Amino acid sequence: MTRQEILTELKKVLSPYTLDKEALAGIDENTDLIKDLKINSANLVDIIIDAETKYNIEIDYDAADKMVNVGGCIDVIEEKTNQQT
Amino acid sequence: MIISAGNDIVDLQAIDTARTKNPRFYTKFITGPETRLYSRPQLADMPFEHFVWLLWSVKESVYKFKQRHNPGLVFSPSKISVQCINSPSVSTSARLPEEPIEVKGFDKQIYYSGAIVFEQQELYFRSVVNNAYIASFVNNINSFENIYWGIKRIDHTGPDFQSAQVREFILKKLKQVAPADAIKIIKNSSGCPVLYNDMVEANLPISLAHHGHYVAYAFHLTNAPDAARHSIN
Repeated sequence: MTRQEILTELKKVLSPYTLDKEALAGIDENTDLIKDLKINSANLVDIIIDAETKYNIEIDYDAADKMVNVGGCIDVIEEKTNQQT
Repeated sequence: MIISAGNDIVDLQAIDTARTKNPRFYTKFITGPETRLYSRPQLADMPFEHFVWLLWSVKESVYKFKQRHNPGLVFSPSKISVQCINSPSVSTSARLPEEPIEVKGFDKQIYYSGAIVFEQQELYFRSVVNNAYIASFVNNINSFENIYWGIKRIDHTGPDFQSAQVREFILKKLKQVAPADAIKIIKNSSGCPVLYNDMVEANLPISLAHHGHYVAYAFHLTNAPDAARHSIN
């Protein structure tokens, strides 16, 4: 998967947790989940669990810490899916 | 001493209880030693999902408290270690005031309290726990007599509405206890709310939280007669 492909799929993971669909449609690697998409921090763990399920990966503490912006999420998903292949 | 403010609130109607109880979920931010705190007798009456969100709210409050003076700080909830949790000495359900609650300090008889260690520093918390929400407040000394805090239920859950409501709520209180002509709240580049008066940053740290149908604020203001004026001007 390319980073762009992961980004496209990531929109589906983030969608249940943001009301700002316009901001979601326009996300890039610098988009902050809380500041830009107005996702409540109480949902950050939901996003990690949903990403784990979608990609069949396991995201540990250290990796989870990086998932505060879109680029960080893509880094983690890319790294963990590459480890499987 | 560095002064700051940190708080968080979780609306228990907005969380997924089944998911909360799943180890795959809570072990993302609660460590093994912390999980064992739940088996202490003082928490015997607390549903597990309340325990999970109590720890989350404490950790988030610590992050907000520390991030004000360290804008680059990354939220790593597993590295914020809750050391102990003390339950209220009297049953809380009958004694907790109805919202909106606006209080200064915490009566240990009716609120949860405890200690946290983060980056070798000990911090302290007070928490309001009931069946509707869990709200936590953090300080770097084990005294909250200078912490003003409030919790309010709001009608809608959209983030813009929540944000406007919590600002209105805290500004109303600030105008009572620290009168100033032109106070406003501006988020700095790292997302931390900062109080300004006449476009000058006030020495009065504030913290805001919202989730679902609840908003909460905290701010630190000392008791001295001129402190309010000094802090804000």
